[in-house]
Amino acid sequence: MLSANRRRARNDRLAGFLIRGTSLIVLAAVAGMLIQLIWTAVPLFKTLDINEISDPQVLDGPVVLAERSPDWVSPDVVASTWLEQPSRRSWAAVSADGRLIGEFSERTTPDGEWSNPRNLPSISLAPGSMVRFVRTPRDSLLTVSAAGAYRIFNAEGVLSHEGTLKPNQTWQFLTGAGGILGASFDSLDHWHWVRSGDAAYFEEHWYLSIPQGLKHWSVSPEGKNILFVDNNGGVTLVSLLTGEQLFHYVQRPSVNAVGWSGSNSFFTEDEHNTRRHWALTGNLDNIDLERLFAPVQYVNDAEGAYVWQPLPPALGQAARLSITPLLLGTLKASVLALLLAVPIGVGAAAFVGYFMRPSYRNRIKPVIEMLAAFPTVVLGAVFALLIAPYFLSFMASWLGALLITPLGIIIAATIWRRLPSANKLESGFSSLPLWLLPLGAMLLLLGGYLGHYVEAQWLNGDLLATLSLAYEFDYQQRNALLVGTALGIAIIPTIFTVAEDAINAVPKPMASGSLALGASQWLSFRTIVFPIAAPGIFAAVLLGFGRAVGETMILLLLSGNAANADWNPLIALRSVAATLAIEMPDAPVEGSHFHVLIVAALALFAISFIVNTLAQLLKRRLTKHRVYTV
Amino acid sequence: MKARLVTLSLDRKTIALLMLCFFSHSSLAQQSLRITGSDTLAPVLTAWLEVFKTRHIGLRIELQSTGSATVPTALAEGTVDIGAMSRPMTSDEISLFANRRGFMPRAIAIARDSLAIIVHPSNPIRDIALNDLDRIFSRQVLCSGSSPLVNWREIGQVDGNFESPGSPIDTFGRTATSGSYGYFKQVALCGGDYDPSMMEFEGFASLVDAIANSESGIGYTGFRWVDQRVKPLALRIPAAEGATLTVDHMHPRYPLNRSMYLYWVQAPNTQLSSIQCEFLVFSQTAMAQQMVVAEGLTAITGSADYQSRAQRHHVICE
Repeated sequence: MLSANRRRARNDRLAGFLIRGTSLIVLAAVAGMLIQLIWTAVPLFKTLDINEISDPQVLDGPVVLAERSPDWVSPDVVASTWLEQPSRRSWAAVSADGRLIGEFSERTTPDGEWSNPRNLPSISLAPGSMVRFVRTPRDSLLTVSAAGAYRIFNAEGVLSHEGTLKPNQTWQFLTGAGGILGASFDSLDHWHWVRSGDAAYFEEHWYLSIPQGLKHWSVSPEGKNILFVDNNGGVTLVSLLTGEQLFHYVQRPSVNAVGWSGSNSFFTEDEHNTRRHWALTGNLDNIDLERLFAPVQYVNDAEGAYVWQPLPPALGQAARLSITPLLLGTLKASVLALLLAVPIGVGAAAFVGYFMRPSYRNRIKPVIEMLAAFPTVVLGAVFALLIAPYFLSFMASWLGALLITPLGIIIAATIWRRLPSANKLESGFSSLPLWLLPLGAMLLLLGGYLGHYVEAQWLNGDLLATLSLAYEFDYQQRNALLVGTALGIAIIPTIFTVAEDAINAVPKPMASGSLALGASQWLSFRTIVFPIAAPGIFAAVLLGFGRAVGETMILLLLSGNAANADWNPLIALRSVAATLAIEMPDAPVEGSHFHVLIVAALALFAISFIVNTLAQLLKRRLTKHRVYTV
Repeated sequence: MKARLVTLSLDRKTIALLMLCFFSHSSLAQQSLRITGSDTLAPVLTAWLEVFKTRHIGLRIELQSTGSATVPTALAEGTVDIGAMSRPMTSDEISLFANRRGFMPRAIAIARDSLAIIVHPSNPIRDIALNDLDRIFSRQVLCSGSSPLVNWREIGQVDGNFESPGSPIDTFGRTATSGSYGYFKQVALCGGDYDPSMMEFEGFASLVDAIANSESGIGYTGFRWVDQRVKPLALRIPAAEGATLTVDHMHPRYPLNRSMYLYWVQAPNTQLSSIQCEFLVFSQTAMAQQMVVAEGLTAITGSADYQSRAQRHHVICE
């Protein structure tokens, strides 16, 4: 007998070890995932470093995209620029006597013959002018003189813009939308094409003073970074997109020239014309926390903005990787979902857990728990197909119902209380649905109709159009309110189940005691049951929030995926989870885009981890509380 | 004897059989054809090569879909025979090739893909200026440097010809992973950023569906997804001497028409290898173009220019 007991105790102990061990393994797996994510994101923040390439045969020369003109450009001119499109082509150059020359021709089919070349009007330019076809403004000719005066002509030679840059510099056109780089003996500065209101002009983007004196510089093939050498032999890497110094070192013997041999390798040439090759390692895209979370002024921007547009990286453009709009989108959707789900979920939980007869409770609980298992992708698809197109047009009715229903119920309750009825106490709360459900349905319909009526009578039949005209706000077909509604419906079962468990777990004798002392059912719920269950209810809300934050499919299908940094609940949003689902498969694993997505995933992980841990801790506190009070 | 009309449905097997009759001379054993390039063109090339293989028994074929951007380098280095690109080479890419090889790459158009600008059928406008697309879709408005357009009323003012709905403009587009997203950004927005308010959809079908249900919506989509629930707009583009020209997608100067090309290396005054030549000629045949249509792209109109097979051969291969 004794030995059997001892054996059982030993087995229990063993089982306990096993269970504890298993939970430790689960914890370790979660921690491992976290570490893995952090490990993947770390290269993003690695500082730049250089290594000398000892065997530079592979890089026997710089990549030069020299302007080798096609055969239709006049061979007699030097330093010509040209533009070729499916149905139009033109070239231009500065002639020996300082005039703008060139010609353009068109063809009627994209693959047909070119006809009628016509000359550009001959325009005399300021001394030392250079000319280049640029993309912004569309298909234009940009000329810059030595004194820094710029003139912009369209492809047929008609002047469209003019202005001045700083004098006394040498100018270099940058590829793509990169703008103009100015260099003097002790500075570098970058000018970009910006628009402000209806005016567009070249503006100084950044200015870098080089007190040691500028000796030589070179722009990287992608037009993202500049290397320069100063008179002290210092080699500096500067981001073209922000003007920030990324890297600096001093090389001896003194360097005379630098050049790029690839997008992340370069060479230096010293006074004895010896070439040394270097490879850059680390984050060349210059991404730091500031660029992820703060507004950034990109090339061609008049002011800083939060932009998420990682693809495709064009020449001279930085990937727009601001994760603020994504986090804001996730937060916006989750908060709106909670606003809908908490009153309904917690209210239903209170009724089912405390007021309802247990036999009904046992029937209704599994039904709602089954709803929790409803696939969210189906919910999202149904909303996208059936509700999204009409959501805004029913906004007035929806708002009317939302306003009238609670109001109506409060009024009905007041009237009920005044009614001199003998059997009021007997029927109690458990027969409430008998009255409340039809009343609620009627109030919903009434509110909807009233909203519609008000809209038709006083708001020109279109609530949002009228109000948006008067108060200047935006609204979109796919909006946060719609997402919040669908997401709210998805998380109601979660909140309900957990909150109901918490309320039902409050020991019955406690409420009975207060009832025996003459408290009403409502009073004993409000003062006894609810305070005890509160941590559990809060945990339910947090669990619902955690689920909303991680939800992907509903947001992917409904949210419109527009990455705006705006609190307006009537416009679209883009969530972190949906962005991960859309872009992760197409992001190159070594690139900044991928690493930033990992950072976003980490932020998501952190939010749900913290929220869920908090929920579990609160739940545990509730259990302890119960043991203590019984 | 009674003449019987046999209707042949042109499935791949039938085309293959026809091809077999079409080229009836000897097969070229132990030859190889290396093709690389565009993802968009991959289904077309696969279909073509399936047919082409049956004609050239023993031909070793390598087909890689590595994206259009890889073609110029691969051609310049001579690692492929034919490069397929869903856009023409940029001037930088042509320079890169020309610097390496000393002559220009050659190209032939094989298919076309058009983007349609669509609005709700109740929208009164019929056409829109190319630069207005930039003002609607871009936050930077780099093409013209004018202020952005946010309300249909403003477009009504621009045109001065209709009573507009007066509601804010809702923009619809594809997610960044779509090729059309990048193409529209380059051509219509001059490389500028999309406005952050643009709603992004995972597919063209859901995008068209969203616009069909949005009276204030405008978006871009491939032409094969356009149906009667939405209205495609014609585009106004600048023409010579400051005039404008209104073009629809059938017009050769429709700006959102992208031609797709086969590029190859051929030094001036040299002959192309016969297998390369056969394949290039094949791309221009009516059969090959039917397969282009079957894959959801538009056939090229230029193929009618080459009257006979002999003439085609002459234009392409010599």
